[in-house]
Order: sequence, then C-alpha cells, then structure tokens
Amino acid sequence: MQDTSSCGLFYPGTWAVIIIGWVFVDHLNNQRETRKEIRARVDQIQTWIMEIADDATSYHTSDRDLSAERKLKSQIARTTKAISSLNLMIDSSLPYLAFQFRNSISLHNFDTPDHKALSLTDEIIENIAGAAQDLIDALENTYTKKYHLSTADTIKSIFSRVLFRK
Amino acid sequence: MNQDVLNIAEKFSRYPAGRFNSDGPYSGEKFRDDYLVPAIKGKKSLVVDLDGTRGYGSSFLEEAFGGLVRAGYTKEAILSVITLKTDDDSLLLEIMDYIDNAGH
Repeated sequence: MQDTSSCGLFYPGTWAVIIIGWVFVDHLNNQRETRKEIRARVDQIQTWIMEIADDATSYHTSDRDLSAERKLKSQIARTTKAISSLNLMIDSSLPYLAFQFRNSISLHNFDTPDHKALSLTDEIIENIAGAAQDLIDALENTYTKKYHLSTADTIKSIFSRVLFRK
Repeated sequence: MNQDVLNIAEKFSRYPAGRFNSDGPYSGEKFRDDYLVPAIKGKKSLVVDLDGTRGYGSSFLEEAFGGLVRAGYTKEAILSVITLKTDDDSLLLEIMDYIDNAGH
C-alpha cells in the first residue's frame, strides 16, 4: 500500500504552487477588468470632448445663446472632473490640457453681451479645435503608455515596481 | 488657525458667469470684490470651495483671481490668505496660471 504522505496532493509545495497560481491569475483578471473600465472611460471622455468642441464652435459662430453657454460650462465641468478622477490612476499632464481646453472655449467672446458671431477661420475657433485634439491625443497616449507597453518595457516596469514599490 | 470656508455654489451662485459686472449679476469682478478682496485686506484666511456649481467660464476665473494681481495684490499675499479646494485639478492649474500671468 502506498504511503499517503508521499502523495503529491499532500506536499506543501504543491499547495503553495496552486495558491500562488490562483493569486497570480486573479491578479491578472483584476488588471484586465481595470484596463477595460479605463478604456471605456477614456472613450467616453473623448466623445464628450468632440461634442463640446462641436457645440463650442457652433456657439462662437452664432449669435449669443445663454442656454448654450450654460450647457457648455456644465459639459466642460463634467469632462474635466472625469479627467481628474482618471488622473488618480494615470499620472500625466491631462488636467493641464483640460484647463487649456476650457480656456480655449470660455476665456474670450463668452458669457458676455459683447459676444459676436465669429467666422470659422477665427483664431478662437482654431484654438478650440487644437485644444480638443491635444486633449484627445493626450488621453490616448496616456492610456497607451500605461496599458500597451512593449514586452521589454513591461518586464522593466514589473521589476521597477517590485524594487522601488512604485 | 480657523479658516472660513466659502462654497461658491452656496454663498455666491451655482451659475457664476461673466468677467465684469456688466456681463451679469454673478461675474468674476463681483466675486473678487465681494469676497476675495475683503479677505485679503483683512488678512483673514479663506478656503474657497469651487465644487458644486454648474461649471465655470475661464473669463470668470481670470477676472476673479487674475484680477487680484492687477488690483495690486502679490501672488504671495493672495496665497497666504486664500486656499483653493476642488475635486477638479484643472481648475487649480487654471487659477494658478491666471495668478502667475495676470497682466502679462
């Protein structure tokens, strides 16, 4: 009769491998879910930015519309707050570009009875498009840097986190 | 040290708008003159809570905070009295930029 103490199931090492494997797979699953959630959030924010840029262009090229002003401020606030909350997870200069975006829309010719309908070639309109694109690009770059590193960079990142607890 | 907290949405308006008083009743100029300048003159610490409004236009922020520098207050004098509070990091960066670059 075989001695049960020699059965593989009862080796402490076997259990250690099983537990470590389970923890590792669970960790990977959690990472994947987080990545999916952030991707969805980034997509949503990018859509908002494009909508705001369109609405802002329409506002600045038309006669003054008080409800459009309020809507734009509210849309911008929702977007910049969402970017700030994203920044808790991804270290970047996104809030600075978010400020530039709000600034491009609402520093001049905004919230004032002196509002004028501008031409599509006006500097304000061009700045809105530029700031929107910069913010969209920065969101994409930040996401890519964090979640789509090369294999070498991934290994470097893991070692760096382990060694320096980043 | 006790600090007064000024929530803009509660004490001023949920819809702050415009640069000058001629732009509307809740302009950056009015906010600066009614709340910020008295706090700085009295050297009374004030926490300005920016959350809760329906958003800000940059013209309001520039006049309220950048306008302090144009009115003769130094960055150090402003920041020794006023503390900003918000969940939106972009607002902090924007206001600091206006204080740094007002009049340039």
